[in-house]
Amino acid sequence: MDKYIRNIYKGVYTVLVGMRVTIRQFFQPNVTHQYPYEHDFEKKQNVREIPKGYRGQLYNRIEDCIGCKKCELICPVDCITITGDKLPKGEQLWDSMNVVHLKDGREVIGIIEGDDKKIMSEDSMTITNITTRLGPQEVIDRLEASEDESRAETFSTDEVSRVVTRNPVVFYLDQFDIDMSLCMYCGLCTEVCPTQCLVMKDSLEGIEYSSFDRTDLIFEFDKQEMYDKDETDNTEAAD
Amino acid sequence: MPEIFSEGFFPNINLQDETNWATDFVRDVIIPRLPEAVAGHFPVELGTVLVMVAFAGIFVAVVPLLPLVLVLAERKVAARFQNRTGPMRVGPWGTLQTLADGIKLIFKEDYIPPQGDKLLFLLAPYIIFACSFAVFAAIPFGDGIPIPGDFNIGIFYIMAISSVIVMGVIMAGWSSNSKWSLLGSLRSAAQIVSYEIPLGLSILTVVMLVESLGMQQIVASQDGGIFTWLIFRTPFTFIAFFIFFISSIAEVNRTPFDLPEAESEIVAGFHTEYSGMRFALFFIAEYANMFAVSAIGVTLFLGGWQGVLPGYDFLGGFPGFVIKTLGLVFLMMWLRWTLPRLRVDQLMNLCWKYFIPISFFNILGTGVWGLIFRHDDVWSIGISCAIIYVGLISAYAVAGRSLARKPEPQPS
Amino acid sequence: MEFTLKTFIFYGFALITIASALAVVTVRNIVHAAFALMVTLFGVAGLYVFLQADFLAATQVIVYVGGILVLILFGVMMTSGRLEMRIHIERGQLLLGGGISLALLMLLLTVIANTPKWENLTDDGTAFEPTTKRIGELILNEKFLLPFEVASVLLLVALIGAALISRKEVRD
Repeated sequence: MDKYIRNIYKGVYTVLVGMRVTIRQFFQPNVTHQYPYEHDFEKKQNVREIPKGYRGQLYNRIEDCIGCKKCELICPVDCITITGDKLPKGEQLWDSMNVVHLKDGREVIGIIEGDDKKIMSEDSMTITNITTRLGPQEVIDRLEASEDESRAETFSTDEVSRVVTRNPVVFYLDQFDIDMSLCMYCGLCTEVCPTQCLVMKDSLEGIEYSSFDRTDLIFEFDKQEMYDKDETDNTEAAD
Repeated sequence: MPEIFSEGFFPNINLQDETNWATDFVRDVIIPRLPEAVAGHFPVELGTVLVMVAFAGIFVAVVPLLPLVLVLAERKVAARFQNRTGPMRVGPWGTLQTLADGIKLIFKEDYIPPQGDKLLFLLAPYIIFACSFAVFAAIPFGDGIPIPGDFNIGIFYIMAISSVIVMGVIMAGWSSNSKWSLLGSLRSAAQIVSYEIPLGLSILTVVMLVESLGMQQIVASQDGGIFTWLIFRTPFTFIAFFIFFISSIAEVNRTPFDLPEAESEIVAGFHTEYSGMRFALFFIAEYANMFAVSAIGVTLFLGGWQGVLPGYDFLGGFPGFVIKTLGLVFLMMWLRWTLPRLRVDQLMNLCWKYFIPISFFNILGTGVWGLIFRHDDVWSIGISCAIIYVGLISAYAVAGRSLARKPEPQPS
Repeated sequence: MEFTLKTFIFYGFALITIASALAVVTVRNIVHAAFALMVTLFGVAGLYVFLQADFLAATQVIVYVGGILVLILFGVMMTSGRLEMRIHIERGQLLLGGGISLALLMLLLTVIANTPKWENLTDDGTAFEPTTKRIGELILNEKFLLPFEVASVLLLVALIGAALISRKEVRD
């Protein structure tokens, strides 16, 4: 009989203890991220640190790429597609603009008419398509602004201290696609790249690939617009 | 109609407050003339029948909205207990989730087991659904709200109708032509039938105090503030309330008593083979049943639509009733996400060896109490509340002390 | 007699009861017969309502439908070897059975015809008196105390017997 009453006590008491535990959880804040509307993982407190050497999203510095296709060969899931061409004869592409350093400290960025390697032996040089920036993006802008002839200046050679030449591109990559939906983050392609241009990002940036169309996940690392050979593409160029 | 309705089909509405002209108009002019108006040139009985059918139709159209809300509430409450947010995508904060689920279920294939009993298979959800909803007819929702089932045997009618649910469960399990469904349904039937006994005995304690079976009379006897609620009137009805509540959880097959229909146990018990809208009917019937037994518990023990203070200004009237019922439903959900599932023999053990003796003890105690204190006055209520209070404190102290000792090894 | 709503509903209930009772005895599938019995019992409960026996109607549903019929169904489902029973009846048995049934029918009709007082379906002005209180007084106070207690003892005997039969054997 005593056991009976003790059973009743125990039953009721343990149920009440359990209910207290549960109701305490009722008032705790929730830990759900409303993905993909809330991407800011870093803002919430319960995000782990990313360790060093984390294999994140792939990124290719295309200016260093020599198009050896080693990464394409070694990829286990064939997610990299590379097409490289030599230029047809007679065509020339340049990879940057000329920078003319003047003796008074100014820099003029533009395109030197004539052979820029031998321009210092001339009397004067004419610089067309003067812009204020430098770099491959500016080549694109140069192409867009190529009708603007008025931005030309002529300097005499005495004012020029140094000329930075630009290099012709003999070989360019037509297509360097990485299909991120296939990539399995093994890192093999980064290991075999001889110029170390293909790297994996070290952060959580860009690892959420949620989109409504699978072809959105093909990242194109080539720079076709730069060389005025752009075809229509619907993807994000990862710069 | 045979006069088993205590006040006729269209009862005399008595509102405590002053009625406005609209209520008077509806009560005195429209409602008595409605059957004649509907019938037209036909005999007036046809009008009465059509008006009754129309009321039933409105009822059937409105009451299933309740499980719609309850399903979503269950998911959100369950999510809160588990530190997450529940459905948030469909509609603002996930409020249209149940609607989306219903639409999805409509699109599912209507599968009838080919070797099963087709007639019984089709009939079973409707029996359970109809009986779960027929209970709502007899619950007094608020002061002056006319209920269609205002019987003299109100609570007894409710018990009778909820006994028929067992037949629907057995029908569903048998006609699915699957031994797991049959086992699940027989287990569920045994559980429901067993737990009807403590349920009925707890109701008996209330009926003994009120000296009437009618629901309106039970509620009317609890006017006068929170301490005239039947849960506080004797210490035995206090215990009876908890017996009633736990038995009603077992009646609706909810955790921790949901062995017959738990997903990890027997697939889904008696409603395994049902798909699409038939399964939705079971689901709706379960949640409606949950609300119904909570409503009955509130009516019997927690004062129905009576308020905390005399006169129903605070937690009274129809909103107060709904709040109290939803509180009990929340308690059911809370228990669901706290307790592990009971095995079927533990369940039966609990019912027959613990609940039934305690219920008999309650009836004995209530009878003696009713003999000692013939009228409910301040003394009787005060003494009962004192006993309840002292009992709770001492139980807490004793339980704490006995559980602090090292538990001796017990055979399970 | 006048045709009011009550008449129609009464005949409806009577029809349900008789039709399902016929279904119970004629349907081949036993389980179907058991569920038809449920409809019959519901019909009888409805007829009790017409006799102004409200408590009895609810008791009928609780005890018969919720208790006894569940027991019948358990028995049918657990032990049904063949669901479709085709019973072959010889002609001699048919005559004998028919004769006895006819005799019973005559007996019942005689009893019905000789009942002195029939209740009208229409209102005759007597107020409806709730029966629960009256039943309680009769059972516990006035006439039926002894049969009630004997029935309780009988149920107790049945309960103890069931527990005894289904008990696990205690091996010494």
